[in-house]
Amino acid sequence: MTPLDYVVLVGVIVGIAAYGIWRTRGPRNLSAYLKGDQTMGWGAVGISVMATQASAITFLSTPGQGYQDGLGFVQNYFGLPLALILICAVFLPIYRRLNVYTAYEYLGRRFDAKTRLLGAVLFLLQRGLAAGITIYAPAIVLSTVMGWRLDFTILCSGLIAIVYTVCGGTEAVSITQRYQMAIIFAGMIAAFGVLLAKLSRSVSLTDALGLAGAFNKMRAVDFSLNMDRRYTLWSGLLGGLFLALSYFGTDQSQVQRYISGASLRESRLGLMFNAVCKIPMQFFILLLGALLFVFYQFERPPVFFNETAWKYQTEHGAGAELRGLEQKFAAAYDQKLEKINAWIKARHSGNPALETQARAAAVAELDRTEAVREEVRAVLRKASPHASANDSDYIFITFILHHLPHGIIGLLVAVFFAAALSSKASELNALGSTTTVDVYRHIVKTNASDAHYVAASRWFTLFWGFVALAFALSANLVENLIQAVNILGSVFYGVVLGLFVVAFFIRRVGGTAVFWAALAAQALVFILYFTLSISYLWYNFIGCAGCVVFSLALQAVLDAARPVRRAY
Amino acid sequence: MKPSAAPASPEDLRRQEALGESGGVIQDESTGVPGFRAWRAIYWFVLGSLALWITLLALLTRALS
Repeated sequence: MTPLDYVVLVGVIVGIAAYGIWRTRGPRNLSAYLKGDQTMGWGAVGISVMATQASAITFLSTPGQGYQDGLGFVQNYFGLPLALILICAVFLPIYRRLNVYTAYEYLGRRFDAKTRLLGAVLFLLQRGLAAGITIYAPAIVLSTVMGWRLDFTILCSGLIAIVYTVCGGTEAVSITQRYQMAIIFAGMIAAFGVLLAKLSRSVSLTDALGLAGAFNKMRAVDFSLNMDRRYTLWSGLLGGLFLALSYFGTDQSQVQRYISGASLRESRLGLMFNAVCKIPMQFFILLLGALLFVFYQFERPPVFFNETAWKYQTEHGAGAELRGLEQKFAAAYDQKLEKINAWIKARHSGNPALETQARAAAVAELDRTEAVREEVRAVLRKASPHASANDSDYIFITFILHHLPHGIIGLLVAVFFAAALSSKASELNALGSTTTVDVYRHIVKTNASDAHYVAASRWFTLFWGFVALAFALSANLVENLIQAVNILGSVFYGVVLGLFVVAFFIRRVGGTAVFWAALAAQALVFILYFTLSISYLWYNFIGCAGCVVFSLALQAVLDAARPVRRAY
Repeated sequence: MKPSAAPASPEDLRRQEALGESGGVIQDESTGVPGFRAWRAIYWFVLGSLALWITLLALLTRALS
């Protein structure tokens, strides 16, 4: 990065945060602090909901996912529009009309205090951990490639979000998210444009898509019924529906965004905006990854995209072995390029038999280069068992640093920080609100002034900010980052959704039955998670279904055990 | 612990929901979107766009894999 890139990066990030603080200066009551006085239009609600979901991981890790596994991850989002329709039709009108601060307040009104507390605690547990990941995940990648200290990167991104969220509450979060999303869209469009321009020097877009397809990167929809496959149409529709229903319907970080709409109409339209835009947005980010894969067929990629880890290992211990593999990779790459060019030539020859033959040869060469990359990973794992040998999160940032013009590099790094801050701020805002409303005001101090609760909310937001920072400073992840967040969510979300499904739709179940049923369902999800190898998306369904079935069974037992009054 | 309100049945809540913060009845608002008079029409539009995306992606998969 040059000084120009640093000026763009610091200017964008600090400028937006300072503007958010300035716009929300002055005293505010609890409603204004937690719900922004409900003045947001549908566009602001829609952007805020989108920015909350789209963290830095989305923009850093998803192109890597597209590079590695192709477009299949897009199926994860097929259930989202269905979930948002259900939320607009059922959940949202109830939240709005009961005028709640948090989703868990509704559980208290429908059931009892302990069920409300259980919902709030499950949220705090899951979101508290996820908040650490949303800081740690981009920081680990950015610090590695930029050569910055990891703790410095975590503290910088974490502290900026903490300061403006504590100062301005929900309104500051929403205001900053608008500008952060504008930067994100501008940066991603710029990266896509540069990639297409660079790609066109080697290959036409039609050939690029054909090449990606030949190497299985364009398999967007998988109709397979195999439960072991992570992303299929069915796991996306059903598991994705439950994941999105739990996330958007019951996770306070999202509920807080859309209940702050100026009216039911604005909140609904904001959600419908996301229902229509989310799949195309994810598709284009994954397509960017698939096209990056094609780009690196014509431009020799590093044998391992985490170049810092590579450099460290070549200088310490496994150097000779890795350098040998690097030469083997270079030779395999040259062979592959030759076969790919032959395949493109065959494509244009109009001879299908020749094309099939050339394609098979190119695929065989790709397998050879991938085998070398796998050997490299094995050596790195052996040399450093605790370090991650997964380099897919480093693919996009490597492209940015090596192939984008200066200024745009600063803008793209600002994209990652903006995305990290926007989702982080929403999470902190929600964690602070839930702790204040569902725990502190509900249990600890029940009759204090509005100003007292605003101050408490600020302190709790600060507390959760430091918890997230502490978690991020001590974390170590081996999964692809975007999957790690989804896995963590899937383990908890299903049960929380189950609580709400029973509340909304099963009138005969009471608080005691649903409370114990939720605990049993959560235990079941934990046991299955550690014993089965099914796609994590299914845990959303299992947790929800378990909670509903156990609730019905337990309520039946309680009803049967209740003494029957007899008239004598 | 703050005494919570007596547990309410969904019917009680629905009655409560029908009353706004001011105690007046809240009507389901119009969409305000030209061409979509009812929310149901917007939901059908979203479902249609989902079906269209899945179809296009399935065709893309078929054409390029």
